[in-house]
Amino acid sequence: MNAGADTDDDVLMLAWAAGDAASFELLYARHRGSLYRFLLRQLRDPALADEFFQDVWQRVIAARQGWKPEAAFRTWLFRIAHNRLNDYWRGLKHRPAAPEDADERAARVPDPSSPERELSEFEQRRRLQLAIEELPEEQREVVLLRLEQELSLEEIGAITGAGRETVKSRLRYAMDKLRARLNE
Amino acid sequence: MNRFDDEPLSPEERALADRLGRLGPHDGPSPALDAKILAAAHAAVAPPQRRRRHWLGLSAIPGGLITGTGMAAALVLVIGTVWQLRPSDPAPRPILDEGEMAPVEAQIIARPREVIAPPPPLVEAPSPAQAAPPSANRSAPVMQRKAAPAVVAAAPAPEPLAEVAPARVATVGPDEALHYDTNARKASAVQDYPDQRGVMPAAPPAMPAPASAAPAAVDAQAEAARKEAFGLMRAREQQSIDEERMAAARKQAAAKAEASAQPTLDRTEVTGSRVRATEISDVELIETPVEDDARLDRNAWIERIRARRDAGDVDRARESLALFRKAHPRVSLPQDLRALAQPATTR
Repeated sequence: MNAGADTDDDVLMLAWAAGDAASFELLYARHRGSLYRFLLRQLRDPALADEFFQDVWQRVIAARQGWKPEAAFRTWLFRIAHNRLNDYWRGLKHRPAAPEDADERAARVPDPSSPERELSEFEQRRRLQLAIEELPEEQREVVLLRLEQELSLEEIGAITGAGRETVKSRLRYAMDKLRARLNE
Repeated sequence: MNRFDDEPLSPEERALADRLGRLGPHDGPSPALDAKILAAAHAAVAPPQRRRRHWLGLSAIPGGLITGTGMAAALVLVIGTVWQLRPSDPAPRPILDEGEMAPVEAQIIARPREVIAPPPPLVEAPSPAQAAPPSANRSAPVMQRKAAPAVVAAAPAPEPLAEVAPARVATVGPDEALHYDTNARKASAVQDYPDQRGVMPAAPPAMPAPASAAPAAVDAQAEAARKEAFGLMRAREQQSIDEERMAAARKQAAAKAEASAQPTLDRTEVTGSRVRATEISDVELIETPVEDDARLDRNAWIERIRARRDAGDVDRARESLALFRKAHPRVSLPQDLRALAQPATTR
């Protein structure tokens, strides 16, 4: 199959399930970064993010034969990640605490701007990171799927299993808290 | 790609998304993690046979070639196994010297010649039909063939007879020598009448030489006179003609023997042993050590014991029978030999 960069995810997924390994390579390259960042931002642990990332793709591989293009591949992929995270949260019985070195890690991010602006943007990013980490789990997931993955409310609902209005409400609450935290 | 209605980010969401993007992390999964996942995906859709061949390092070889080679190797293995397990002679053949092997091999070659060698007209009409012993009337034609050359060969003197047979064996080579009996009487019979050798295996198994020696000697003197009339040159010419006939018949027999089936040879081989065991003369019986009987196969050994007993050499027959019982303790003796075994055990 001559799968190109503009080939639909569903077509790639069907081609790979039929035996075309190159289609999976395209599909993987298209979603690897966004999925990994989503997991890392949720888990805040690179080693754990690696484990979850591999686990999610293993589930994709295992479920390839039964996959049907009823939903978008990206929606299906993030729903797997969502379920995996939920299992993990339920196992922990509580939300993970912010890492102790969060500030140091944020400080290591390079920025070629001027010192004044650098201080300003560093502060803004730090505040944004803290604000996201303080969000409840459901709101944090919704706002990350919306801001990072730029998913629609319906897609977020399909991933999280919540209705559109519930997603809309969670997103609204999350945006209000972020706005308030960043304007402090 | 998005089957839901697109809902673009609002300006506020876009600003937060950009800021979040700069916040990081910017790196994706490690290359090692990428390779691990891609390998799992490739392995999932690869056919099992291909994976096995890749593991064996045979991915560059076409599958059909591997399959064909494997089938050929398996076929060779099966054929080899069947060849090794084919039925063979259950008892190992006794080790014989050349003198003893000769009559056995002669039977092998002589058997197909019964068919291929029509008897040519006899040059010399043999008269010693009357000289044959009355007990051999059942095989009178055969005895005529045997008796005649014996007379011819014995005509000059008894000594040349002993010299002629070994000399001829030496000239025809070791292979052809196998077709001759060490017995000079039989050797001369074969050489003078090669076309009749095919009849020899059908001769009665027990044909002791001394029984025919006396009439043969009488005929030899009568025939010697007739031989002198024809002259020595005539005899030698006849001898060379006979050798040529024998050589031609031997070639035909060899070709037929090659064309004939293997089982026939096997069966003939066993028959030859029996003939050898029963055709041995009384003189040879006496001269043959009892220990040599152990070289014979089981049936031939039984026949040898009977021959010794019938020849009157009861002691050697008992010794041979005792050896036989040691060698074959589980073989039940024939009824006629049990009586022979009884005195030996009680003695």
